Amino acid sequence: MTVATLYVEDVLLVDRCLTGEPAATRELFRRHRGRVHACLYRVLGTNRDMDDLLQEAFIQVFQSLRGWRAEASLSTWIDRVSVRVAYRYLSQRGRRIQTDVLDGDEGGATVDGAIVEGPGARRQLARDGVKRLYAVLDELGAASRLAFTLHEIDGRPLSEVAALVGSTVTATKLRVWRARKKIEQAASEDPVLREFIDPAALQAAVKESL
Amino acid sequence: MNLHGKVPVEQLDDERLTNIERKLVVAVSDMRAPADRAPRRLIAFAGMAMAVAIAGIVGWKLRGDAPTGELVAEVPQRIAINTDTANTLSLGDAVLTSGPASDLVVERTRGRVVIVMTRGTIDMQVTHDPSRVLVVRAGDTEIEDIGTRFTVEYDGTSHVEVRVTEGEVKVKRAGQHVDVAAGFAWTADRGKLTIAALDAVTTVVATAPVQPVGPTVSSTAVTPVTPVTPVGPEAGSTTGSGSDGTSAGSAATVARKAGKSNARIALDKLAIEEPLDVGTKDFNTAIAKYLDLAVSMGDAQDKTEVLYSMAVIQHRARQDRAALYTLSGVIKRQGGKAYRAALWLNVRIECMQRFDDECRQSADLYLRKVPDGVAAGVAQAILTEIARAQ
Repeated sequence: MTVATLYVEDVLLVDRCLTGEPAATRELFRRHRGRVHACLYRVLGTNRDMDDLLQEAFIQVFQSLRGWRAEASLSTWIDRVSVRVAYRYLSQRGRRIQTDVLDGDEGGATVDGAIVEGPGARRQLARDGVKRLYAVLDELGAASRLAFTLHEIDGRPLSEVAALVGSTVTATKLRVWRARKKIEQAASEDPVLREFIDPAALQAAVKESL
Repeated sequence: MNLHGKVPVEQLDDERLTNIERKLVVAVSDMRAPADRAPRRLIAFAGMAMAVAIAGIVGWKLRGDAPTGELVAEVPQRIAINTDTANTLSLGDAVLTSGPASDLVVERTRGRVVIVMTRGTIDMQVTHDPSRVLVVRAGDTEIEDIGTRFTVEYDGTSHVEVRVTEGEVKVKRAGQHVDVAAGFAWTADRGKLTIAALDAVTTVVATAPVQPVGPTVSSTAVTPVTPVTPVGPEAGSTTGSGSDGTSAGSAATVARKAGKSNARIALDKLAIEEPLDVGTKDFNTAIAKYLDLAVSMGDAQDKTEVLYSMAVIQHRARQDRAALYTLSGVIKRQGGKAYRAALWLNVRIECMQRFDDECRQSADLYLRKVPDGVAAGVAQAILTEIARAQ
């Protein structure tokens, strides 16, 4: 299906939604829920409150759907709405999103600081690494966390992130840099986190962004 | 740092997604109900009892579980509601919620419920029961339930507004009736239109006379039209331009001045089928070649592709009258390889300048002949927009 055809389909779907057709509401939700959920998950690192957040994001979408003038793609527009919802959630909930306590009884893949090999251990290491990463992200402000997660974890270019959060590329780049510094600092004291994030590349990126 | 792909997304299970979807559909449906109407609030049973006492009702049960058609007394039961607060009344198989400052009487006999409004707003949720007729009267307008959720607003004089969010109602007035289905509304002065259109008209404020959006490039003169005119193309559009000079107070035009409508954007974006290649980029040479080809073909042969191609080139050469004439030759054949493409090109040309009656007819024809597909959807969007503006 060509981009133009997809675009026209978006226009028609929006038109149907605006007439109040429940089937159109469901269709729009199903088309975009996967992407919105993935984005929110990567920002927050957890599915806690995800039901409310997803619902809030899509309610915002439908409330402001009349304002979509079709200049931007519907996906991009919906992402913008979702990011706003995430920002509001982060700002209101304070910095600590994850309240799970990291403890040794979870079966971490390290023993006395040494990395344990084996596929199960690698998976556990990855899980631990994610948790420790998000524990550091919890310390960041909402804007920095958003910028970093959207760019580094969700893989979006800086320009796209800047557009989504309504900021400049320079400001976004600075926020990402600050977040990287914080993570680097945490990784210097945490071998699991260090292993997870690939410290060699981290240091190179910090130097490059200065 | 390369974290892309390192944080796997923990998927939500189907049950959670279904619940979210269900709540969303309900929330959006509530959102589409008139936002400025009185909020629907369940009042305490004691408060309703007081309203009942004021009204002087005879033994009406007010619980939501009152069985359908149950009568406490043989005589027709009447309840008057005239309070400053919103009220909810269960009629057994129907729930009536009235807004503040509503004044109405509910008359109920076996097999018939009539709600007579003096003024105010009511929201109805009705289970269809073929053995029972439920009618709302607002002035000289009657709204008959066919199993629905709908809202009636009546200002006590001439303005009546009906919005249907589920099912269908029949609206009767001055000896005529119209069926209004979910997603549509009916008003005494505008007739039937979509709820979205009604919202757009009622929320846009009329302003001073609208200046033309941009210069015309077409040889066709752009003439001012009467208020509430379907949108014309914006200046700078490659498909032609021009604008509608409208008189002051054209709310729809004011709304669309801000940008193209979705129907217009979709129309511009949806490409037409390419013509047959006759080996030249010169319009006049190509047209001559198509004509020769068509003449040389026998009567039994399908000429639609050739004629369609000629119409495309005529359109690109800004010979739209000629293009439409050529297309009519294809369309009247009622078939052929390029029949569908010709119908669509017809829509493109007729709707290029403005969404007027010729545009409406072409979109209607397309939809009748080709009811499915993306282009059919665009045609429907055009018709919806034209209907909104009327």
